[in-house]
Amino acid sequence: MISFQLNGQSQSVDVPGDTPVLWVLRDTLGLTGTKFGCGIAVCGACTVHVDGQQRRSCVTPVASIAGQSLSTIEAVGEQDEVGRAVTQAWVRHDVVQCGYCQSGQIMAAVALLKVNKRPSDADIDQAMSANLCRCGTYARIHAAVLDAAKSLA
Amino acid sequence: MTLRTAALRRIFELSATLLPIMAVVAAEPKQAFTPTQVSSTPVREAGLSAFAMMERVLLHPRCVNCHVPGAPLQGDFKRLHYPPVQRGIDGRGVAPLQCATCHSTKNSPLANAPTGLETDGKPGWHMPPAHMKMSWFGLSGPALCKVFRDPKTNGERSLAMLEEHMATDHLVLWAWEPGPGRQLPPMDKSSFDEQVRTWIRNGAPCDAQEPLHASAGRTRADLNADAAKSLRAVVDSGILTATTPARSQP
Repeated sequence: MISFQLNGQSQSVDVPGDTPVLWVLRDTLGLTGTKFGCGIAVCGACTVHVDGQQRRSCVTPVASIAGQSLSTIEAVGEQDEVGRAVTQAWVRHDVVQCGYCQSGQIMAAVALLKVNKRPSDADIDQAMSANLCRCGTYARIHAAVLDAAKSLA
Repeated sequence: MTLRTAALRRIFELSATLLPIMAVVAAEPKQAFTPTQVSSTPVREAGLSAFAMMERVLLHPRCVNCHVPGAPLQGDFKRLHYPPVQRGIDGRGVAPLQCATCHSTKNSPLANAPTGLETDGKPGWHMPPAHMKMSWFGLSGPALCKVFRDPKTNGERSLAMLEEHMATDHLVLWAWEPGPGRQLPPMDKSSFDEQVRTWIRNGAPCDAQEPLHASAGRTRADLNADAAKSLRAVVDSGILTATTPARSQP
């Protein structure tokens, strides 16, 4: 049994330790907001936070997060003001097109704004560069991150 | 100065000296290691030949991709790293994009996935820290050898510590188990280790003129023993317990 905090609640799962966190979330716990994209930690669709740091859940063995705090897209808009500011900015800018990458994009944006409240354009480009969007919504993502930062100022 | 102040100052002084040592000791795997001794009849040419072989490994992408002056490289062709991560103070990236964001605790079975490495059960991938970049990029021959050998540029390692690092460090060992789709260094691990031993045994030469090293220097175990001895001396002196004031009764 592997135990950790999931979105602020205690959680235990009985799965092999090398099971990727993404499979645990989607298949074991039924939290399907976190998406499978490339499966090799390159696209960012599966981004979650572990102890506040972003992680690619598709390559993260669940045993490696034992005792740690895991946050997913399901709770990010409720957990704190940064999460709320980002999700609200996402709605204001109508960022989403197909939407598949967007949970990862939001998790990356929240991770950025938690360590950098006033990011420059270059900061945003760099921090968000590891999250791919096949619809090409990058301009709206960029604008929404800036807007979220302003609303937090 | 009161005894208590003196004791606290002594602890701070010891901490400043010992913590960096203990941090390095903690970062090294705890395996039995016997350092190679420098021969009483070293042969410079044998040492130089051994380093020439070592150089082929040190400059291989598995090593030099992270032994760079700036941001890391990646792949078998030393390309710019995607995403454009930075070194950071501790060599583990700059939040929100850190090494551990994509580099997990083990290699993926799939080609083209980021590498993985475990340190105490957590993601351990990293490059040298900002204060000691240990860059080998663009160097070769004697210049590379001297940067590799000089404690000021090699992470404050003696020859014995260098050998231990090369022989046992899990990040070095990873180079020979890099996961699918990555080239291996140009010789197997045991052959590389033998070249390191030959280089040290023959005085660790870097060029044809300089004096040969006469000693491999201190090991991690030596430093660890010194640190424990210093701490024990402080405890045994009684300076810590003698300064604890008696709690007054209400």
